[in-house]
Amino acid sequence: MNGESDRQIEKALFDVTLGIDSSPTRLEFLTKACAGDETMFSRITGWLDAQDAAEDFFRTAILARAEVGGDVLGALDEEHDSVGCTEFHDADGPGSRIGRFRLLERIGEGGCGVVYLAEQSEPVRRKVALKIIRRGLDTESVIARFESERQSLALMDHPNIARVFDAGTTESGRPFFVMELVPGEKITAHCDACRLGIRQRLELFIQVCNAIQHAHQKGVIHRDIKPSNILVTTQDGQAAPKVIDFGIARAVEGRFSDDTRITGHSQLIGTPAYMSPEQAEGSLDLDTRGDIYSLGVLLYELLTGRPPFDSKRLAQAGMLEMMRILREEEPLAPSAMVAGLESSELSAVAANRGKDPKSLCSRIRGDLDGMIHKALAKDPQSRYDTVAALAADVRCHLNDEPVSARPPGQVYLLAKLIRRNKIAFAAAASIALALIAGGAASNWFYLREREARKMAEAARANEGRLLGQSKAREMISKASVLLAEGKMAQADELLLNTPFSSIEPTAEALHVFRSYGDWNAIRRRWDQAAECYDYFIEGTGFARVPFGEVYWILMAVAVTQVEAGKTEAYQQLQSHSLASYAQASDYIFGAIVLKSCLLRPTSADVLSGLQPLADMVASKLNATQPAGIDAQHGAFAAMSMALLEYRKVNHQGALEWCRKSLDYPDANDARSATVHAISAMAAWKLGNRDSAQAELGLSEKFCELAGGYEPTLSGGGSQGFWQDCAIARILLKEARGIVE
Amino acid sequence: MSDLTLMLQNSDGDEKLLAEKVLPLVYEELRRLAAVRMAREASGQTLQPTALVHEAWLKLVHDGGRTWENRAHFYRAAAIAMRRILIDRARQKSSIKRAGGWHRIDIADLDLAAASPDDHLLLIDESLRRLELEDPEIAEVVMLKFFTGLTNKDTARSLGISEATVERRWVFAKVRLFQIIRESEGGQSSEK
Repeated sequence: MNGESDRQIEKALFDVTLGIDSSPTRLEFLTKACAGDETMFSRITGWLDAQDAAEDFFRTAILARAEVGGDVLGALDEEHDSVGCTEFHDADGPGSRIGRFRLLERIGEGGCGVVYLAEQSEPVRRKVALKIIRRGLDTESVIARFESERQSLALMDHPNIARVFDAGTTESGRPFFVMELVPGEKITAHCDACRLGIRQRLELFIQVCNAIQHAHQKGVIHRDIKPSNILVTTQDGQAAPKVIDFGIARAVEGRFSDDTRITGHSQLIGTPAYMSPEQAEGSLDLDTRGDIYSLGVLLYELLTGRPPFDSKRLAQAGMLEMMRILREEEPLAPSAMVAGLESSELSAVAANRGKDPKSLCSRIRGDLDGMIHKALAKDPQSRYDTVAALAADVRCHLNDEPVSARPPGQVYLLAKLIRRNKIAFAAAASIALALIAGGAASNWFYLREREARKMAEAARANEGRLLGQSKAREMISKASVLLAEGKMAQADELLLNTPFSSIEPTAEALHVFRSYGDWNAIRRRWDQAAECYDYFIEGTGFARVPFGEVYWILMAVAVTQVEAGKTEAYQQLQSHSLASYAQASDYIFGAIVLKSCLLRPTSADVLSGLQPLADMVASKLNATQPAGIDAQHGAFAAMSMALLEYRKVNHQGALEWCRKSLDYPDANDARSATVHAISAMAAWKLGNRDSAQAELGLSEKFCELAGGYEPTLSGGGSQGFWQDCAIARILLKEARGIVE
Repeated sequence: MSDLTLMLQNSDGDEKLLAEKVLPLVYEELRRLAAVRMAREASGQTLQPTALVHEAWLKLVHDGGRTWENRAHFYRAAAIAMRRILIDRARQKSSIKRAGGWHRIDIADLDLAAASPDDHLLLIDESLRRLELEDPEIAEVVMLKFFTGLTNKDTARSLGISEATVERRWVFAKVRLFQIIRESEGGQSSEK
């Protein structure tokens, strides 16, 4: 009767139930959801019970598919024996020519090919690395895949990425790649040879991350990150890592690798130690997070001297066992790995890092354990969102700032619970809550006809939303690249027509909205800017903005809200600032909080809330020997004080601070415009009309000067940030309204 | 404009019909790939269905035909072709007794654990026939993901659904196919 809608309900319930990890909760949920419908209950539990076995069956099945596929080819091979299957001759060796290149010397060998030092004669004479793919790969396919990625490869331009110049076919029909020649050794060997300490290793690692992030922004995934693909060259005593082989793993399908390969199976496979679980399973849905996993392995090896899973063990395990290890086994935390090393190896590993064994362990324990754990998460969704986020954590660690990854603990356990993807979990959680919490709600899901139809509609709507989201994601990636390249107008065009509400707050999206917010604000498109910042703050929360950037965001948001006339939002920003920053002890930051909160006349509560900050700033500025105060910051801080006194209706005090601000030996047009505007208002209120008008004139003049500078996104320079110009305009406008 | 581009444009989205036309092309492409292949030992590599289908696509269709709509048609047709190629081969070699005509296989007396790769494919093919009747939208995902080896993203685009939905359907498909196989193995009738 209602077969179809029943089935939809059952499938939805199955899906939701899969998202619940604990089996008692699953059962409890299902019992309530089925509300006595035995058939439905037993059908769904049947599905759940079969799930693990079904996954196993299909893992084998996918190998079976490859094997039968190989058979098909084998059979065709026999038919074509006379044409194909020519023996492989190593005809191309030193001395021979391949197109424009003359092979000079064999410099390396890997599973997928031989690398030669070669000389190019035209159009420029230069030495290059030429890699000839050695095995029986279909040349045309390799070249076709390379061609399909050539455009993205051409976009990559980064000092830490070796360029791939060209690809072609040798006379004997083998594909070859021409790459920038990188004289150097692989990163792990370099670190050990130079006995680099942990800090230096991390600094190198950050450079590698920057290179990979650059590639990701251009839409290129490496797929084969491992020490032998990261060479370190030394230029003028500075070590610089270079990532090689970009685009090549993709072209040869990442199937080969150096160190080990598994035989005894129809399928060859690369070094599994650096492969993410999804890559080992042969998943084709590889994305940037596979590279993040491999970077996690690299960091692990840089710190401990070994990859998380033993290469030999993985190589000797069968294919299915290897997949299982990568999928299910939790590697030892790096600090535990080091602690468990035999004493002779441990001393060697520690000595290579300039440490004694004990201090090496404690150096790694904590932050570094946590970061690696996050990068190596089995579920790609639980890894860092972007390589930039991983690099940021490493940098925070080096600066002794808190990192976003935490060592396994409560949070980790909760994360383990959320096994499946976030959307499924959210859906499961909300439905499960509705069902389990409220007894009355337990019938809610037990739907028939009418409800079923409604549900189907809701599902369709949800489908539409998800589709919208994936489009939005693509758009954000594009915008992010455009922004990184400074192509603001194009990014603008892209973003203008996208409803922000459809965009998930990923790290990348937040970054885009912050930059786009600044860009709009500079163009005085206040409404758009306000929307961007709203989105950014909602997604990030002020608490998670890195401290070094809070001042920038705070000023930008304050100015934008005032200009866009968002009174309520501005009041919220004031309360947030009072609650979070009133105890700040840094006078520069204090002064920024003051001016951000005082752009408009405000309540007595806000004024008294700001008093501790004002006292701190004032005492710093009034100290007889103001240690550590430079003219520029001093002048800005005095300006903030003047504004505060003016808001407190202490006009005389305001004038004094204005004078102090102007007395600092530092020139800044935007600040001068602001100070003169405050002076004008205070003088007017004190009845000194002539002086007020003169001050107003000065303010106008400086404001005009300040407006003449090309505002930049990133920088202050001597003329201050764009926010300072905006503040000057706001206060000048207020002064014009007061002074007749 | 290539033959294939024309075929795609003239088929009006009838994938069955299109598969009839595409199949010989895919076969031909396979033969060619085999002919130029040099070393025997790498046989497992080159017949990753995805790689094959992608390359067949790249080679068979010239630029003018490379719209997504065309490509979606092509993928669905190629899935049918790939399935037939693989199953024909598996059937030649399989030890499973054939019962009831040319393509029905009797899986009742098969030991799953000892099944050969050929048996595996035949089992999936057979159970997929039933799933196609029982739940076509789920079966469609199996065709694209298993037989063509498409990514979730390409599957999603081909079917006009989201990646999350593809993943959900694929999880469910595996469970149902496995159940159908096991039920037949035990000699019971299927669910419906």
